[in-house]
Amino acid sequence: MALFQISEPGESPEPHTRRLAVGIDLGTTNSLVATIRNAVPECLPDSDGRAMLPSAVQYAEDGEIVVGGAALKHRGDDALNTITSVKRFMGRSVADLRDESAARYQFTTPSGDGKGQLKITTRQGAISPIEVSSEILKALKRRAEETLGGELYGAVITVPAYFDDAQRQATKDAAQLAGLNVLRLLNEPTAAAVAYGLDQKAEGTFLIYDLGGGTFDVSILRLTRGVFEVLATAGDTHLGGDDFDAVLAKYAFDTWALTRALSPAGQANLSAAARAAKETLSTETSATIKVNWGCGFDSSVDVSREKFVELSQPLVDKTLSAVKRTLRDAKLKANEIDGVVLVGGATRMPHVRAALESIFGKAPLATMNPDEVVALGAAIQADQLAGNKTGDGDSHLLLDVIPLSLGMETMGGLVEKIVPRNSTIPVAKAQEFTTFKDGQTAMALHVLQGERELASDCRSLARFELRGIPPMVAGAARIRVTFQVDADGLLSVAALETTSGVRAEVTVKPSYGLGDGEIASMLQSAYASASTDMQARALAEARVDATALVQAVTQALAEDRALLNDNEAAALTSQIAFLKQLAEGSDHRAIVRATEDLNRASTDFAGRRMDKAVKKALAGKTLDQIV
Amino acid sequence: MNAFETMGLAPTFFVDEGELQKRYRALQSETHPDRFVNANDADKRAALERATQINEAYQTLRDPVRRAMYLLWQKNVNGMDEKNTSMPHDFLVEQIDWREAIADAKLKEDSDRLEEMSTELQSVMDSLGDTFAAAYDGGHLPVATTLARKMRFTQKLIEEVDLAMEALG
Repeated sequence: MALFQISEPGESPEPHTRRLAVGIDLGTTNSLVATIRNAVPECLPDSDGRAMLPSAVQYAEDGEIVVGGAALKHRGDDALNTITSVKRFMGRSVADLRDESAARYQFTTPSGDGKGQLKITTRQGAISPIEVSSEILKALKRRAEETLGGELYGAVITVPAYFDDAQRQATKDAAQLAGLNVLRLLNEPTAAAVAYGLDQKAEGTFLIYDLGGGTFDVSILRLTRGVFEVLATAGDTHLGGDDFDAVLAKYAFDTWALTRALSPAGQANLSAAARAAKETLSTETSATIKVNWGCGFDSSVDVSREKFVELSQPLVDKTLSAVKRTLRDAKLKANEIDGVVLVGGATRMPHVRAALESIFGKAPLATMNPDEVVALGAAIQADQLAGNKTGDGDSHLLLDVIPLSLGMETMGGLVEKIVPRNSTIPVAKAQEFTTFKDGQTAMALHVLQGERELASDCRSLARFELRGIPPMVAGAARIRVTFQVDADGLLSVAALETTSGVRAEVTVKPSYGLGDGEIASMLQSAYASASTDMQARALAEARVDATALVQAVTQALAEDRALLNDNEAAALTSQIAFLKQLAEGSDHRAIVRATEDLNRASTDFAGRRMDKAVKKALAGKTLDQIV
Repeated sequence: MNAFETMGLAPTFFVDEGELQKRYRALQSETHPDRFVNANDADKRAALERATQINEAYQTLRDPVRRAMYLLWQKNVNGMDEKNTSMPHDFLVEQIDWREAIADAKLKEDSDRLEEMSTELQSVMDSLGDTFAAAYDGGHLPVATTLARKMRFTQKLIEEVDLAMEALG
């Protein structure tokens, strides 16, 4: 059946032209870009052969923006303008900051109340973490395009599985700002599972333990014949290798009995020394933390591995309790896990491995480079999503979940959960609410994410109002609130008063991500010098989209005309003709509008065709072939 | 489309789990948004809606208690109605006994006993399911409703035993 051909109208006319698609691991400490070359996923190195790009951005004195290793060098001497671990600030407000990270930079909030996406004050102005991340993504995009010799079609960007909606939205905005076509946001442990699963042809139930530089995730997946089904996920977006460094740094600080807080430069030197000691302790039984403070003054202290294990045990225990929670959520026992896969550089620490071995009774798997496996998995997924896989046989399917429950605030500041955590996405749930007072005509809706009972303990994602409710006695109105989470894990919320039909809709975005207008203006300023190019580009893009849609709907009509009545078919045919005509002109706005109109007009038709496909899939024969 | 129609299954309590899973995967292979990344908006929207519906149907049917409640709901019976919670007296006494036994085993850190209880409760659950199916198929909805509620209570006990076992390690 030609179902896939007609459903992917963007497919290039020459079937063998590969689209350049990459996977990007946007990490707390390091970032990587990978792609499929000669049927093998590989990370793309820079001109010096290094695959890892330090996630550091310096806003330099001369107005330059420096990214990577060159920026990291200034962590000590230009600490306030050199942003590292920016991932920790994505989708976060000043009010969310924990003390230690709040000390590193000067922060501002657009609204001034400590809520909403924070910004970092640098000599080049107040910069949002979204912009900082987009600089890292731009550097990787440039690297990929130079290496591969062409413009990228799209990218899969990985995020910690435990990222909430605000953090995901911020990541997607950063990618958009970097000029990347985001094919999908993919959870890091799921990406690792794809790389492992396809490489080792594994089947069974696997636990992915992903301890990165700044985030921790654990996911349990069932792998069955190319289907990767996430059963449960848990984690901590503020726990990673950095925290193990901090434990050692504090130990040194206390041992030296330093009496006053360190300068940002001193802090950066101490952190670097602590990290070096941690890395040594993965292979040696003792290490020295040594800091040169300048002016010929230095300090050092020896740490044994036992001491390090003792100091960092609370951190390891935190990860283990998340591991146990995923087992409980997946309704599995430790002995039902076929393999434990290690991801993230911090899993090199021997005591982390030992702790997992003692729970699962077998040594964890670490046959792939724990620093690269996420990017490799993302590259595999990007290649498939871009439509580069031709044979049906080798296509795999990912079924992922949302990490945290989504709900609404109700009377008394309590949370009514609407979508429970670990629901497979895409998912939609609806819940009815009612008015509290007689004659109430408006309702404030507060969307929250988290597991706690009280709204004040959960993350506030958005507030919006439903107005124009006809006056009724208390409790008579029926307000149906629908949550839809898409395959990127992003939420949109709609509210409808069902007795009157008053509607309010919101994509949960404004409070943490960038508004569409904000992104547009940032992109515009970036392209300001080349505005005529922009015009030409916009027209070319509008034409490509229009032509692709015309082709797709025409073909759909040819195949499934029977699903429409005469009026419906005639209406579509005339809209197709109209769009075709417009596409020959040069008014890109009119083309975009007519494309949207045709898209809307063919929605119902698309639904009917999908139902037909669904019926076909259920017919016994296809089923045996696919599964 | 109701959940059974979505999965192409007959509306009965007995659902072959392997078959359900197979169908779920086959359907998601066709409709998952990952298959429509390069498609036009209309097809993307249709895929999102269908994939959502298939997920919902699968989650409803794979869990025996949700499946039972859903079957009742198809006959306009709300088995979860909180206003109507009267349960047979002896069943409630039984519930209290179970809870005490769980608390006792927890206190004595008797994981063997918890393991036994888990197995016992699972067989209680299975036989409740059998009886539910018979009552439902026979059109005895009030009886079926009481049985579905008993299943719900039993499921909660199983969860509690699991939690207790986990707490003991």
